[in-house]
Amino acid sequence: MQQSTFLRVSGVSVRFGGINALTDVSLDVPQNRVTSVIGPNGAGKTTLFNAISGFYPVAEGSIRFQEHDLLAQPASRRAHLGISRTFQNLALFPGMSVLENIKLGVHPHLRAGLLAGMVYLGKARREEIEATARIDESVLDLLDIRPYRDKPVSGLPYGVLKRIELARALVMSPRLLMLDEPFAGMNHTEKGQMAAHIRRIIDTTDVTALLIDHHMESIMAMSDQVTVLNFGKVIASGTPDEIKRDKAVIDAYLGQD
Amino acid sequence: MLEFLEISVLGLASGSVYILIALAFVLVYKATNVFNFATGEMMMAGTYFFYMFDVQLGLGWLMALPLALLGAAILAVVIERLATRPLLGRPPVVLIMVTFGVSSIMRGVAQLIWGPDARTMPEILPRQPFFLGDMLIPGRLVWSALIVALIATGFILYYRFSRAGTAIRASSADQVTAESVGIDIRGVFRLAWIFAGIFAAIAGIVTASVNGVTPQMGSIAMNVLAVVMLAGMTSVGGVVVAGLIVGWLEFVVGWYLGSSWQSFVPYLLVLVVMMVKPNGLFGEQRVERI
Repeated sequence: MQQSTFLRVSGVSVRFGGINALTDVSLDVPQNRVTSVIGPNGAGKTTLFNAISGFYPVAEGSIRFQEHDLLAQPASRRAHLGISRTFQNLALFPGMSVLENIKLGVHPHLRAGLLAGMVYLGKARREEIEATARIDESVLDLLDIRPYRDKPVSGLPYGVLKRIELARALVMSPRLLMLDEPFAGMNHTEKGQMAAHIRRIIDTTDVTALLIDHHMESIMAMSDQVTVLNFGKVIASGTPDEIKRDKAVIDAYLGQD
Repeated sequence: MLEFLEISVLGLASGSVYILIALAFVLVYKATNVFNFATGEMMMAGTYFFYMFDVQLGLGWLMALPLALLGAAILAVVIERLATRPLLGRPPVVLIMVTFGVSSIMRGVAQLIWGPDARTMPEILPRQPFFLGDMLIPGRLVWSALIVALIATGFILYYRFSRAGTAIRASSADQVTAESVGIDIRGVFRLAWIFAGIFAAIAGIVTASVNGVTPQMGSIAMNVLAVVMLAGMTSVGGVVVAGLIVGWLEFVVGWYLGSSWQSFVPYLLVLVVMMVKPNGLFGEQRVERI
């Protein structure tokens, strides 16, 4: 297994007005491994994701993804580099069908551009058909959502919607898959199913995963390495076993005056 | 009865121009959340472009039409880039005031260039009337309705099925998520404005073939507000139905009750609909997540 540095976050600070949402956060995500960021609510986990995705401006520090300086790329370009993500609150397009939603994940990889895609003919049409075939062959069965393929997303059960969002993030075999609280809002059974799906994706593809969650147990089991955030700062980094014994982490989770 | 039918057909046909103007409003609103009060002036400018290329420069309408639409598209991109994009994210009322400002600047500039008086447009649509059974329908109205029907159908198919259409729909639903799946939302904004500019210009050219063009012709777009409100701001398909309803109502009311009724009855209808269905007939409920 290759272990070169893949995503490197160095000394990143994010500020909103006078509030320091992230302070000097550094994090290495090795290739083909599962890295998790945990921390209590409000610790800055989603802020870190949004900085990597390009939705929040970074005040200091750098983020490199393979040979690219990520901060120099607009958010929509970062998807083109092979970074995809899911959101803590479901981010599906309610007016569209399951297939259409997933197809949007293929969007950045179609070569005919927006203006060429204006004409639903020729190259754009061929690509469109290929995209549908790809979805049919790959993600629908992997995530058990084939029965819902042509249904509108509004009205489907929550667990299914989470899987559809994951399918959209996966459909073009991204190099880095970022999952923002994949277990949020799920009951015990759904959590188990979701964990099994994520495991299967990690085992069967060569994706590098970056997960965040505030619930330690569900995420420790599947992580190779863990970084703990609290109040926007890294308080610990290491293997799951090291983290479980870490004094600062125990204090942050159990509370301390 | 025959008279009523005849009036109805005329009303539906005249409502077709409303559809194009309403599409111009709705597209920009959906993609960028800007309610563009300069839509009427984009219509006026496109019409003057056509007049300039066709009559003043004598290029003939076949050359003038594509040039005018190109000019309208470029103008739309310039407005988007210079006036609205720097202000995106500000409160909606700021953006609305900016489009008001742009509209009065455009009226002023048009008056400086072409003067305040109405200019007569060359006839491009055949006058030859059509007979539908015993009904006689003016040729120009039939042709303009056909053109609009063609454009609206084509656009709705495109909007529903093409990738750019999907990108516009996705951006209007959720800009952050759209960006995260790699949609260039600035490209989407630009595309929506381009379409709006072109639709407005076509509507203007069709309208002016009857009434001529003046710097004030954009005020027609204010009537279209009724259409947009009735359809519900965000519904591209609904605009078609609402355009026909308002056009028909205006014509029928105007014919039987006189023009003073004509100017407010459509708004009365909108008022009633808004009380019953605040999102309009076809509007989606926008749920803000906190």
